[in-house]
Amino acid sequence: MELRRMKENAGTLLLLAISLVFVTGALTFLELGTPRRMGPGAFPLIVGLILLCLCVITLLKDLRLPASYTPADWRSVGAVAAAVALFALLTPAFGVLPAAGGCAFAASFAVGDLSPVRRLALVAGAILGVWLIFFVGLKLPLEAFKGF
Amino acid sequence: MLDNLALGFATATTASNLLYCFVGTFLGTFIGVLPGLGPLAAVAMLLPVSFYLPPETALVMLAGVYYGAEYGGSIASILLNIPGTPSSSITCIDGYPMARQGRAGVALLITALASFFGGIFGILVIAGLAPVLAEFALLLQPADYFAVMLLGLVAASVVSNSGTMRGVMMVCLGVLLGTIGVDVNSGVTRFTGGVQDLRDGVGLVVVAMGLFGVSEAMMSARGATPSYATEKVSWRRFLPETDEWLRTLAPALRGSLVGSFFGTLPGTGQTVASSIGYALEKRISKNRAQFGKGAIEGIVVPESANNAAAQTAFIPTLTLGIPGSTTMALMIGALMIHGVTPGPRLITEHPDLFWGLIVSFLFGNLFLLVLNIPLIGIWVKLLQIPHYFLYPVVVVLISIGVYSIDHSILDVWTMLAFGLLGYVLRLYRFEPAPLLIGFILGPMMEEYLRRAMLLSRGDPMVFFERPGSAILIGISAVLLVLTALPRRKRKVTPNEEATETP
Repeated sequence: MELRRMKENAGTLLLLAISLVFVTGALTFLELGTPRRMGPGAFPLIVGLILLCLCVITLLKDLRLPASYTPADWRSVGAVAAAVALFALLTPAFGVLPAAGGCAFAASFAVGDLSPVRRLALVAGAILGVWLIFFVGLKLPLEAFKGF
Repeated sequence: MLDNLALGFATATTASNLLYCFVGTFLGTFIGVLPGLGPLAAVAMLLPVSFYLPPETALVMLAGVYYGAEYGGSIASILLNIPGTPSSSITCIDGYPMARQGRAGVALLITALASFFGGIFGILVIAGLAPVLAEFALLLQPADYFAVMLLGLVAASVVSNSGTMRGVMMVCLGVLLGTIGVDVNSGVTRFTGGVQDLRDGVGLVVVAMGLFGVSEAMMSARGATPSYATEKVSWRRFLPETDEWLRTLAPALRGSLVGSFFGTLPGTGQTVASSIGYALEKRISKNRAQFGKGAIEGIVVPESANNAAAQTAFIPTLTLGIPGSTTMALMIGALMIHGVTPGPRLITEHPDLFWGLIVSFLFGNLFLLVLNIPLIGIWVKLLQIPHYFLYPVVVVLISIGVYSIDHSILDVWTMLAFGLLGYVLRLYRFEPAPLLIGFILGPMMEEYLRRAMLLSRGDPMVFFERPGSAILIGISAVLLVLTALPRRKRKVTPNEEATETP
């Protein structure tokens, strides 16, 4: 399959790969049981096989004609993913509020170009908002700061 | 019937009960609007407060919280495309396009009205038919429940705008992801990759926030602040046009009927009800071409079905003790803390409580209307927050919301993974709503399948021999075939477009 075709059908290929993981997982690690007493692997195997078949049919159909897809916007994806990852990394080390600031800072790169002042205001606003909503308002038992 | 309702009214309308219901609705709405926090979180947060109240007052307040949070979730679905509950993911399908067309106010108003309509309808159904319905639910066997789940899944795949085939694929993926964790029948862990914290499976909120919230931020963050958002907000803009009022009446009635029926089945009445209602409407509505592009019927049906089902779901919840959702399970918990155990005799032994609860849901709904119609203007202003500010804040709120559920960092990472998965799938015209519904119904479907097979000694014919399941499976098959066939033509269209544009 040429590269362009791969790109056009990457979504279906991804689903195909996932269905293969579940089907092989069910076959190798889980008991299938009998029709009367179905094992833990039977249901995932059946559903996995259905998905597998549908992926193959969709691929066969879409490969004949060029399929439409939206190209990825790597800057937004990268910034949002980095923001969530930063939150996950900073929270255990420094607590929720610093993590929220880091998260807002990284996420602000997803939306395009911002002046440094606006970016700073955004981060400060996010931290203040989180503090007001989650700590003052809802009184969630979260650690605001840690290790300071 | 009237005696019962009168008793309910007497219980629900004491001054303190009304006050708590109002407070509950108010707090519920605010918590529900926050992405990542839905009815479950709202009820859980305010549950401790209710311990100090008398049982009826506690339930009345929690009913208010529940309704408020449900509506808050609809606000987030319509304005930001981030549904808090699986049933509001159906509302997104038409609600979000409406908001993008500058009709967010109309969508929010209609949502509140449709919820109210469905709620009242459900209450009337309960008042008239509670004893009959309770017995009906007992008659059903695992094979029938399996067929109900199947119909729910088929309906969920049919609602997809990108074709039934893609919808079915998304449902299958959701069902597969739902099998992650310990298998309740054998105690064997499945597909956890050895990660201890995945033994309980992936949390529903984690999946929903990843698929909808994170991927929506990735999709829309770069878009400029839409022009409609800066237009002046006036009352007139919230009102649907005259012909739209008339057009919503029949769908509201159909939605409520579907909702009332499916709500009585224990399990996930609400999710099944809103997806089946939507799928049905999409087939029979005169306006079906508009569905998915901001059809007003597309919000009316799932919202009325959802709320009618929420009402009738009290029948299995309180008489069989089978909660329709985790939120309902918490409500049962609240009842039990107050020394009331759900069971077949609840309606006769605690009539004040049962009917009080039913009527308090009515008041919760009414307060919602009173409280939120004036607030619609404020909610719509949410859209006026510039995009460069809104989306980073949404990402922060989702992250904290998901983290706060279990204080689990793994949940945040899992949400990120689902966000990336959702993003890629959306690029290729796979919609996340059917996936979420598959994820919820899948585990129950497996459970009923295995139980039915055990009861029939391994004979799959059981699904076709029982009239109930045979009919439901027949409907599912017809629905699949009907929607898969005429779409052939339309499916070629995007391909043709692609050949022209590059």
